[in-house]
Amino acid sequence: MRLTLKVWRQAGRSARGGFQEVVAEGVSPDSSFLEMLDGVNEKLEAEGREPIAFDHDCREGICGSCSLMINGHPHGPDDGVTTCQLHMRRYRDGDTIVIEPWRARAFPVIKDLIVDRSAFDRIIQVGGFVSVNTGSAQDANNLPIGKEVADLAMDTAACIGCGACVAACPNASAMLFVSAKAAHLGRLPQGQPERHARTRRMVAQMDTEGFGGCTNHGECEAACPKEIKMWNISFLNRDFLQASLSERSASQRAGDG
Amino acid sequence: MSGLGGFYRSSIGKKIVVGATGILLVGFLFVHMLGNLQAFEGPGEHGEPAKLTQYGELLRTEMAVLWAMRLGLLGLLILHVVTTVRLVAENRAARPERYAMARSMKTTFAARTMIFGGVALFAYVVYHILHLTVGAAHRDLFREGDVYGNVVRSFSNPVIATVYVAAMIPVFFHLRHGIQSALRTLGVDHPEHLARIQTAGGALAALITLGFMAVPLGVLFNLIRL
Ligand code: HEM
Ligand code: FES
Repeated sequence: MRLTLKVWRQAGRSARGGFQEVVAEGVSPDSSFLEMLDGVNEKLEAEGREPIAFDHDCREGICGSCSLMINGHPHGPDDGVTTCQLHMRRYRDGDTIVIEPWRARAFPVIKDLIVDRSAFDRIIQVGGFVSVNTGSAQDANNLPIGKEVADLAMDTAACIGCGACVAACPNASAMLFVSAKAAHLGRLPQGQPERHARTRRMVAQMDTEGFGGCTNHGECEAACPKEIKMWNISFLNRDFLQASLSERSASQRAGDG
Repeated sequence: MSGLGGFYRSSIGKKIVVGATGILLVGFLFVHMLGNLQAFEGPGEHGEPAKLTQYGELLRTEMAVLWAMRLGLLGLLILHVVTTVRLVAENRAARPERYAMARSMKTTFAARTMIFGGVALFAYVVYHILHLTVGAAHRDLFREGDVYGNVVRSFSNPVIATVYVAAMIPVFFHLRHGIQSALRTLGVDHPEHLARIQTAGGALAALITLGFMAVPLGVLFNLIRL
């Protein structure tokens, strides 16, 4: 296959970017999208040109490193698939493909197609965890968890933090990501002690990072390679409301005696 | 960040304010629409004023109560508008660079035009109050206290009737997205309930819209006359 790529090129964080046309020749329909880009980069390097910078790691859809807005779709046109698992047989000989980085104020471009997603790390650092005592682990069966709850928690735990939800949202909102974590831990008994503090802190950090807010467009759910559902955002909203209503300042708590 | 100020500064806090004020305003619209339909009761018999005029008088039994309701509604509207304007500004700022190519997958026309529908709605509300409450928009058609007569005289003019019917189109889209969106914002997270609420929300939006359209159309087609 012969394809024309229109790729976003940007030398660095503060450099001005623009689209560059690159031709990919001899692309196998069996190769993945990233393998196609590898081939293009080999050619560019052989010609003494700068290869296209893009993020990738596991190449099996589990790490969340790969990204790319492909012809206006995060992770390309297929449902429930990351860019690394997108196959070139999805395209036809002679196609033109527009490739852009995720675009959000909270995800600044580092180079070409690579964006800085450390905002997600900071959200997790303020509350996306449960605190456990070290030492001998207790028997797992000491803590019965209903199947329905376990399944819902598992569905949200599937989030790989790729940022496709932010990329797809017209408001660049991170609420699907934050809600996946809040609903995952907030549904499990282990997550209860820190539940309200977790929700409040993650939402505050999300706002500080400059993400937008959800207006229920539904683009995030459609783009998510792990098919995480929007009802988790409603869970987050309700949890945030409860957390705000039950919130006490440190001084009030001291006054309670 | 704590307390009411912190809640309002947060993105979700503002969303909840918009959703809650929106739902309360929808409640008002529904009751207002039902009240208007009394125009179909006609001009009143045996020298009595029309039902619609009587309803207007009923609302004026205690002016203090009427003003409390008016100020409450105004407060809701102001809170709704000021908060949405801030949310929209924050959401725009969250994506400073647009995509060269972005294809939407799931969003609707209604969802994408909330702010435009809202602005159209706001302009309509101002005109509507100047027209039938204050009487300043069309002085020649307005007589203080003659609610039914004002309605019939105004909508006998096809231009005014058309403006009223057309103004309900943005209302429909605003509410079609708004009602279900507000309930999700307020925490309805059960997929089956949500599906039912989306259908019911769309139906309520259609009902409110058609109910409001009925009166100007009724006058225009001579079902309601002096
Ligand atoms: C008058 C000017 C108005 C403006 C500028 C306006 C604007 C907006 C905007 C931009 C939204 C989107 C927020 C979102 O998507 O989450 C919204 C939501 C909404 N509006 Fe309005 N609106 C106005 C009046 C009204 C009125 C009169 C009603 C009630 C009948 C109403 C009911 C709603 C509802 C129910 C929502 C959904 C809230 C949510 O999504 O959480 N709006 N409005
Ligand atoms: S490279 Fe790991 S998910 Fe795509």
